[in-house]
Amino acid sequence: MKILKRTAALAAVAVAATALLAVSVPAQAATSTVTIWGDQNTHDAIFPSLSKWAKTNKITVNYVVKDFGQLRAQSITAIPTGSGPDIIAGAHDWTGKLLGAGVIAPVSLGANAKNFSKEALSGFSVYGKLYGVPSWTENIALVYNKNKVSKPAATTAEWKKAIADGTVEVGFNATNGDPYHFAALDTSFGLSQYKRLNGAWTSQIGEGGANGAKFADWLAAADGGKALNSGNSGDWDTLNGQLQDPNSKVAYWITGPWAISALESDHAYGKPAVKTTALKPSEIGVTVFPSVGGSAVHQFSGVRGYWESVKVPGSAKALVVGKVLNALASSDIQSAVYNLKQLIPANQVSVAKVKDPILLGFGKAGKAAYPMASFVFQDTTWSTLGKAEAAIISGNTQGKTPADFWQAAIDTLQSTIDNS
Amino acid sequence: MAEQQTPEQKARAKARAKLSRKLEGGVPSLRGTLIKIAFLALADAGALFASMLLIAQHQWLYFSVLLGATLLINWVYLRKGNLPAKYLAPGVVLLICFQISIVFFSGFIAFTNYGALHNGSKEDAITSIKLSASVTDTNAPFLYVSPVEDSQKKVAFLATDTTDANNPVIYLGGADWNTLAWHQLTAAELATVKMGPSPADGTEIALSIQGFKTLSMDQVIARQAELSSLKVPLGTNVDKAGFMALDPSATGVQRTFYDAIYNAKSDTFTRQSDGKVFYADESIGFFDAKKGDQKSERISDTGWRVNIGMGNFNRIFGDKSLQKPLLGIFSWTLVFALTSVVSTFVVGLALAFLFNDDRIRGKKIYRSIMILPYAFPAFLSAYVWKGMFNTDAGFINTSILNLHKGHMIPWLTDPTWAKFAILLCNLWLGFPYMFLITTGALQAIPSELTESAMIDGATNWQQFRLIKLPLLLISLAPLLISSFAFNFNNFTVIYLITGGGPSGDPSLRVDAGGTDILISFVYKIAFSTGVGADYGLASAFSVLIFFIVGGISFFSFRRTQFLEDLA
Amino acid sequence: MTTLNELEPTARVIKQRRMSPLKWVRTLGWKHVVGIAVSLYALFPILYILSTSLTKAGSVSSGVLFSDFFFGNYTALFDPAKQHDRPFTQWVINTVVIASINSLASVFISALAAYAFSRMRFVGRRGGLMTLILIQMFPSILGLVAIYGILSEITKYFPPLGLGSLGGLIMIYLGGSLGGGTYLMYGFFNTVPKELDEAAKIDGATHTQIYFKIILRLVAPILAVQALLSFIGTVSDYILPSVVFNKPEQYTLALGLQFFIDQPYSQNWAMFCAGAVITATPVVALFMFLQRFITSGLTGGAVKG
Repeated sequence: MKILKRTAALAAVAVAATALLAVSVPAQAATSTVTIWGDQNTHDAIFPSLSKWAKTNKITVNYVVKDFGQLRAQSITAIPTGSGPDIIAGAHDWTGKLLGAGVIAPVSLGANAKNFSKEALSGFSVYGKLYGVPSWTENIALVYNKNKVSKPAATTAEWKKAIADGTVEVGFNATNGDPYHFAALDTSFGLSQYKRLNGAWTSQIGEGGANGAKFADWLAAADGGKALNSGNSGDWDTLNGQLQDPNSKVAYWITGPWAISALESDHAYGKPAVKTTALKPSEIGVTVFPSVGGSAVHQFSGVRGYWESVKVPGSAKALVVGKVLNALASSDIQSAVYNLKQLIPANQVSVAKVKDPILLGFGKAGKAAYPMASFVFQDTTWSTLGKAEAAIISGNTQGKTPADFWQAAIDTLQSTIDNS
Repeated sequence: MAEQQTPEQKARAKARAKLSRKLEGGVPSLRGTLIKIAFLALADAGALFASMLLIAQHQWLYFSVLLGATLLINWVYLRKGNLPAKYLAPGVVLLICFQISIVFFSGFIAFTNYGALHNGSKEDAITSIKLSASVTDTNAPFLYVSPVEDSQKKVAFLATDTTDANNPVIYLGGADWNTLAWHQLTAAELATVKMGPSPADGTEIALSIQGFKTLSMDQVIARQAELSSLKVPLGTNVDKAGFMALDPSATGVQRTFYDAIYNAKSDTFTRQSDGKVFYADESIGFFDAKKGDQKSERISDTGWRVNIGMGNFNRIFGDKSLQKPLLGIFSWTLVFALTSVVSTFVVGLALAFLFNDDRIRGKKIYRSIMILPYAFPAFLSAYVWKGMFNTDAGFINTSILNLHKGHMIPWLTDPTWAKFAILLCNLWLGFPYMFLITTGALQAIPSELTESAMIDGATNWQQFRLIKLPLLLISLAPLLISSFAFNFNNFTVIYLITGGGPSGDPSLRVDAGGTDILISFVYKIAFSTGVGADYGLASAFSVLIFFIVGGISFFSFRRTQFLEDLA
Repeated sequence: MTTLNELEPTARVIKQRRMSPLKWVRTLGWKHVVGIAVSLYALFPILYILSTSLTKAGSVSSGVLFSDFFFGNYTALFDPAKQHDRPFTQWVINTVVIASINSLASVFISALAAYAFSRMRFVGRRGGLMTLILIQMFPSILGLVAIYGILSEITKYFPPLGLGSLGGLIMIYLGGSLGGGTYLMYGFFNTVPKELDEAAKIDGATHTQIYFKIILRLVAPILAVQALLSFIGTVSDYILPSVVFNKPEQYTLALGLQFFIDQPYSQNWAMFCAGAVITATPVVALFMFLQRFITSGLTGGAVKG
């Protein structure tokens, strides 16, 4: 027995020693390894060019694919514990929450800063300080099937008629609505998600008042919001299918560049299933939004980009991470991303190389777009406005008139914001 | 039952126990001992390895806990007797480390304001605010830099202003204003400068200067922590004059200044623009202008985690905007859990009766198909049900019910239909389990009982109602209670199918959806809606839910035979 | 009951033959009707997944089931050229490895504990068992946050069990297995007559011999059930792997599948469903294979006749 125990003890020491050796190795490589957390789409877009760049610079990029919906929450939880990413990839309107949670650090683009538009930079800025590196931009525009519409609606009257005829589709969910896409409609009534001051958002909701009542009434009207084609609560196949289908009256789609690749492939929708064929790029039109309410339309622009973890500055990989961020901002990589996935670059040097007429159409239509706000309470604003819009369209206004219901939702939202 | 033991039985039991104690471990086989020692050695090896790492990092507290635990485990296994501990130790250790610790963690969080704006420690918050407070002056020129070091290995910046490409201006400065102040090079210094192309983009810049050694790229990378935090002051008072800081790619430096200054002694931030002072407010976890005032101005939205005592519980019981929806949610939670248990049990029971009949051909095939929902990963099926319930395009409306536009059932968008849809899906997920357990229980009922009843002339229904059902209920009660507890917290089904929706009254400050059960409501508080995550409040809810469901289960178990069996 | 059938097959056949059609409908026929109806209810969503997995890229089959038989989604999942972006084959391996280790280890641990609770008398036994049951009812909605807290602390000092390690994930799973498994097994262990242990003891067997050679063999059904349940649980979980792992090649199927549908504008349901079918296949196969044990295992404990 005793001998056995001693052997066991010796064995234990041996095992422990080997294991210790095994663990102490990776510690050295850590200073040149940069961990990025992002979603699958961003990975597919940036990784080929980024990893090529990293190889020549002797940097290892560890891109961790995370579920887009959980990415932000996981980063916020992980970074303070020291086990989070060095760089987070996401949408610019996360900036407020990430900063509020204290997990990101300011970044500087150095000499490259002049190549980014003011809008793209402001999307990643809080109180004038830049926290993120813009990667590519997105905004919605009016997409139409050129086979069905030779000259797209341009005036208020033409646009109102197009909607009333049920020829306009926008993929909103019947419960949650979609205030992002609806910005193409509500802003034309002189509304804006928040009131603007000196070219920036304030925390005052700008959707209420007399104009808000007009918008609510229009949403509830049979030839107004109710006539919008939701494409079966945002079912992707239906939206694509009915726009492609020569027998469907749907000719317009309020959507973004992400929809284009799907329009260029076959679909089947409805019951009995109608099989529809892909549109050629030359059959797809993209134009600026006409106004329903008479005022100028300001849809949102979204910018994708990257933030640096608060743990990076002053750490043993501060410059390596900075190099990666600079590379991501460079026109080399942004052009490569454009060539691979047709995403509109944020770097203007790369934008100048964009030749695709459809993307140029989105760019042109997005001139009047405002970057989405990135307040800490931004999620509440999205969900409240969206749900109220959806409820008005479905007539589920709990006994109130549409205008009163809309105003009540906005008042609550404002008080929630004020009390935060 | 043990409570009713006669003294004689007790004595016999005692004697038996004594005998067994004598016998156990009496003649251990060599193989058994070897295996035991091998396992123990493996565990000790792991512990030794871990403790070496802990010693290396001077983590004495963790080390002593580990040491204590290892000694305890060795004592348990090397000592004679004390059998229960030997069998329980592995599970209990894991349970404590990875399960009970989570419960305690949540319990602890319930008394803090941990959430969106109070995410980390106070140190983290100060670091974050300080980083945000140093602002790059975008009006100042961007200077190309060559990091250099002097003979004492102290780093300095050799910078070139190329604004006027024909007439570059060169600067030099180090971290200490008194020994190497930031200055434009004198003519004498300029003579020793070597110009050359910048490694970044080839612009002509100063690469080296006499008395200093230019750092190679590898050296820059090796010393990146030092370089990236190097602040070269632009005056005697760095707070006022600002400093030169390296840009993230180490190609250049730019004037940077503090727009707020942290004073560690008074634990305050002072804003440079207007001199306003912000105090560390430990009661709410922000740097704010007036202590204890939630509404006073803050230097930043970034706060830290503080203990707020019963604050979260007070909100649950005092905040009207929470209370109004809570009552509805709580009753729906009970209805959901009860209906789920009853419906799955009734369907499972009925099927068990029908198919507890050897004359049915293909019984095995039926059974295999019927248990499929149980075998299929629940999160996958939930997604499918969600798709099938879609009002306009879902398979149920369009194909099974063959409804037409305008007459579609709003399965997931109407609160009542959505509740029904959830129950229907949960029935699908749950009936196979009930079918299996009732089948087993039915087969275990002694046939003498039913036979004697038949002889007494009882009808099938009477047999069922008077004999089988009561027996089944007694034997299955613990499983039914567990099923109730499981459904009470059945987050997956609710979250994946409706996400708690359709959403309720928009005039409430919390989103209490039509199908929200307590746990999904809490999830929303913790992770998504509202002004941001509020883990503190969510934890407080978790604790309360635990008491509710634990209490209900505890008393139900007590009422069943369970505890008697235990004795 | 299978044994009963085997004993008197002829009697059964004769009985059925004698039945008149009308009586057959009244006694057995309607049961087939119910059986077919319930089978349809049970099968339908699964057929729907199968059907969707066979449709062309992205299209959710609307209208008719199995209107398409397109196997491209399956081949695309295993396409070697795409493994770099989506190491699906690796995910399959990971899932099987993790689920197997976890189910074996959790059975081992909870069977040990169940034996102690069932056969031994010690202080805190009642309370201990009750605690095990109740602790399972704690709504671990903050599990994500708590697990980060615990694992990242471990990562600092002992990386092999920290974040990014298989060991860390298994430990978290095992921490929860005692509560779930022990109670289920405890009941079943009780059905094994104590006289057996005592007889063995008198024959000079040690407690380990009794446990491993006698008891474990007799409780095989519940061991199978517990192994199966924890296998399913592990295969279905996508939250914990996403918290613990930080390299795509470590991911499991359930986690990897999320990436097909996580973005509102580019959901690929067909690929998701193809992945789902692959995920569910081993579980269903195992279920069918162990079916014999399941009924007796699940109820043996609760029902003592």
